[in-house]
Amino acid sequence: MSEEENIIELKNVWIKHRGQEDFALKGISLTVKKGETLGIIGPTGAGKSTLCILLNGLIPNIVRVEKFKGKVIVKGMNTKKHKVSELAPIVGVVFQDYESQIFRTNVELEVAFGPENLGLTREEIEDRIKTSLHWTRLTGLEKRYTHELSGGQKQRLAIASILAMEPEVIVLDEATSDLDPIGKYEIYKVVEELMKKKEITLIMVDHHLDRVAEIADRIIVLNQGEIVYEGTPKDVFSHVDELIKMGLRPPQVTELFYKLDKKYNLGMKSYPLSIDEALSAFPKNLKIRPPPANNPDVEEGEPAIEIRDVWHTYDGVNWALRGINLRINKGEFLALIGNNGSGKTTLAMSINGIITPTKGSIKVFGEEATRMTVKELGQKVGYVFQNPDFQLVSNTVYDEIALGLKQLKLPKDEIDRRVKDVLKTLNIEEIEKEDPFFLNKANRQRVAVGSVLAIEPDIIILDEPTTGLTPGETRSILNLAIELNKEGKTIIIITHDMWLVAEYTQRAIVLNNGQILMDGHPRDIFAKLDLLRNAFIEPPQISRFSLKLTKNNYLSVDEFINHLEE
Amino acid sequence: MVQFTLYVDKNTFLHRLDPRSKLVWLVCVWIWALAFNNPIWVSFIFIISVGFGLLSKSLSKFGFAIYGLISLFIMSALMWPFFRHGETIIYAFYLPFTTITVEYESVLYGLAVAMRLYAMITASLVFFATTRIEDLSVALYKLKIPYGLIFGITTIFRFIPTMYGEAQLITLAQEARGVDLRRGSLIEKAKNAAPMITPLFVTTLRRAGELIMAVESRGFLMGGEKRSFYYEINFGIADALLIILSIAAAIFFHYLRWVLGYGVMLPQYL
Repeated sequence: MSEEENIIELKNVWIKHRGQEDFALKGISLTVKKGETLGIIGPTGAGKSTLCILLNGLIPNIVRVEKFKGKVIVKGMNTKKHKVSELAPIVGVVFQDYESQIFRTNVELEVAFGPENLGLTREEIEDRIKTSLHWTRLTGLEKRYTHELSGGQKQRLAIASILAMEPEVIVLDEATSDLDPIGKYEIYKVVEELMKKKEITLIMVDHHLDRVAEIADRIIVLNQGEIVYEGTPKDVFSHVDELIKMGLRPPQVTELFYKLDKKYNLGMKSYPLSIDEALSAFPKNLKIRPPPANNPDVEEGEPAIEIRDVWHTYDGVNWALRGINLRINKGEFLALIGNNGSGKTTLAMSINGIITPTKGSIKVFGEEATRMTVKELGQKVGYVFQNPDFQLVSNTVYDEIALGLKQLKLPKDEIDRRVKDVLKTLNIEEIEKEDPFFLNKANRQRVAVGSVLAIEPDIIILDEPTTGLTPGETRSILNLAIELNKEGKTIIIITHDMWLVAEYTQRAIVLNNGQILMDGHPRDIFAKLDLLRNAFIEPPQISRFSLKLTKNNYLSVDEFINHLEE
Repeated sequence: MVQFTLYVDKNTFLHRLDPRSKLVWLVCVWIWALAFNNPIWVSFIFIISVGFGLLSKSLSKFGFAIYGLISLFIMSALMWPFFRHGETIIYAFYLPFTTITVEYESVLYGLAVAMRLYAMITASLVFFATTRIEDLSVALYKLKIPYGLIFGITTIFRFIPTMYGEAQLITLAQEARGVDLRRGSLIEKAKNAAPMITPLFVTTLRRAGELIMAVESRGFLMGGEKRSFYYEINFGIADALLIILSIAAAIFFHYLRWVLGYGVMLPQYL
C-alpha cells in the first residue's frame, strides 16, 4: 500500500478537552484509504465526534483543546500546519445538530455558501445547487426561508450544502438521526451513488448499525477513547455480546444468529448481517411455532381521548392534519409513527392543547380540550418535548421537578413527597441537587420526564424521547414508560425507531400526509410492507426477516427464538 | 407566521434598483431632511419619502410604526422648546430662582425635528422594504465592507425566527406544567418569565459554538476577502439617475437654506 492511497492518516493521536479529567482519544492510529467507506460506532462519549472534527482540522485550529499529541495527515497535509479553510474543500463534515449548521436565510443561498467561498462562477454555483438539491430531494424549495423548513428537510439541506462543495471525503457525524427510516436510507443511497461516480471516501458515525453494516467496508468500534475492534462488518459484529454490553444494538439478524449459535451449538464463526444472508443461513431443522395472538381488542375500555374530524393548518394553505378520527382508551401504550412532516407532532400537541386545531373536536376524559386552558389540560395530559433543554429552567433537579407542583399551590410536604417519589421512579435520586443543564442528554431527558410526571397526569406524551440516545439509554427510558403504563397511565410515544414500536407498544398509528393510514397492533401494521413504504416507514429487520421466512411476523429477536423448536 | 424582516416581496421599480444606489438615496434623504428647520419645509421632504413609500407599494406594512411616530411627534414638540430658544415668547414658567420661557419659534423647531425624523425613518423603512438582506450583503461587500462583518449581520436575521420559535416552545412547555405566564401583575409576569431566559441563553450559546464549526467546515474566508456571490446586483441607468438626482437635490436644498436663507425657523441651529 503506497502512501498516496491513504487519504487520511492518524498517528497515535491523544486529545484532552478543556476542563475534562480523562483523555477523549487515547492513542488512536488509523488510516483511511481513498474510496473506502468507514463506519465508526461506539457508545455516547466514546470520542466519535472528537474524531470527526479532527479530520478537517477543527481540532486543533478552531476548537482549542488542552492537550493534542500525535499527527493527523489529510491528503499529505498535517492538519496542525494548515487552516480549516484549506482542509474543508477536501473533508466535508456534516454534524448532527442541523439547526446550527444552517445559517443563511434561504435554501439556495445555504447551498451556495461553500461554492461561494471556493470562488466559483455564478453558473457553476447554480449547477451545484441544482444537483445537490436534487440528490437530497429538496428540488423546488430553492427560495424557501430556511427557518420554515422541517427538521428532516434541514438535515437534508445540511448534507446538500456539504455535497455542493464536492469534497473528496464526506464525514457524516450522526447526520441522519432525525430522518425517517426511508429518509436515512435515501441519504446513504445518495452517497453510494456519488461514490460510484467519483472516488469519494465516506466516514460515517451512526447508531443505526443495520445501515452501517450494510454500507461500510470497514468498521471501527470506539469505546472510552480507544479503538476496541476494527475490521470488516462481519468481524466486528461477531462480538455481539460485547457490543450489546457497550449499549450498542447490532443488526437484529446478527443478534438472532448469535443467540441461535449459542442455544443450538451451530459452531458459526461469523453471523449474517443482512436479511438475504440470514435467510440462506437459517438452519433447516428448526421449526417455528406461530406467534401469539394479539391482545384482546382495545375498543372495550374507557375512552381517554376521543378525536373527531380534526383538521389543522399553520399557514391557512397547507393542511398538517386532514380529518383525524381516533379513540384512545385508558391504559393504552401506543406509538404515533410516520415520516417527517406527516403530522405526528401536530396531532400530539393538539391533544395537549399547545395547538388548538383549526376544525374538529378533541375530548379528553369526556371534556372538550379546546375549551380548557393549556394549564388545565396540562394536569391531565403531560407532554415531554423532543429537546429536553426547552423544558428545563431550574437550578437543581429537585426544583425542576417541583416547579409544576408549586404552581398548583400544593402543601410543602405533599410537594416533597411527590418529588421524592418521582426521583425514585426515575432512579435519579443521587443527582437531585445537580444542575439539570450539566447532565448528559439521557439524564436531562429523564428530568424532563420527571417534571411532567410529578403533576401526575393520566396521559403522557413522549415526543421522540430517544433521539440521540444509545439503544441502552433508549431501553431505560422505555422501561420507565412501561412501568408508568402498568400503573394505569396512558402512554403515547412519537418515534422513528421501529424496533422500539415493535417491542414495547400494543398499538401503532401510522400517519401519512396528515391522515391516519393504518391503525392496529404492530404485528399487523409491520406486515403491510407496501403501505408502509408509501409512508416512508421500514419495519424492524427481524420483522422483515421473519415475514420472508415464515409469513408470520415476530416483533423481537427473543420472541422469535422463544417460538423455535427442533 | 410572524414577520421578522421588513422586506416586502413586490416587484416595483424600487425593488429592482441596485442596493448601492438606494443606499446613496437613503443617505441623501437624511441630508435633505437636515437642510431646513421650518416644519412646513421639512414636511415637504417627508412628503417626498412618503412618495417613495407609495412607489414601493409597501406603505401599508409600516402600520406598526404609527404609535412610535405619534409619540415621537409629541415628545419632540414638548422637549425641544426647553433646549432651543427663539424670540417670540408665548409662555413663561416662573420658578423660585429662574424663569423658563417657551417661544413660538422653538415650538415650531421641535415640530420640524419631528418631521425630520419622520422623513428619515420613512426613507429607511422604504429602503429595507425594497432591499433583500441577501442583496444588501452583496452590495456591502462591493462597497469593501469586510465579509466577516457582513456575514455576522446577515446571520442574525437567520436566527431571530429560530430563537423566537424556541422562546414560544419554552413558554408552552412551562404553561403545560402550570406556570402561568400570561396572568398576574407585571412583576409576577417578569418573575415567571425570568427562568425562560436560561434555556434560551444556553441553547444559543451551545449553538454559537457549533455554528463556528459548521461555518469553518464550509471553507469560510478561504480566499481571504476574495469570494464569489450567487446573487448578483446590477447597476443600471436608473441607478445612476437616482444617485445624480439625489445628490443634486441635496446640494439644491442646502443652497436654498445656507445661501438664500429659506425654510429656517432658528437660523443659528442646524
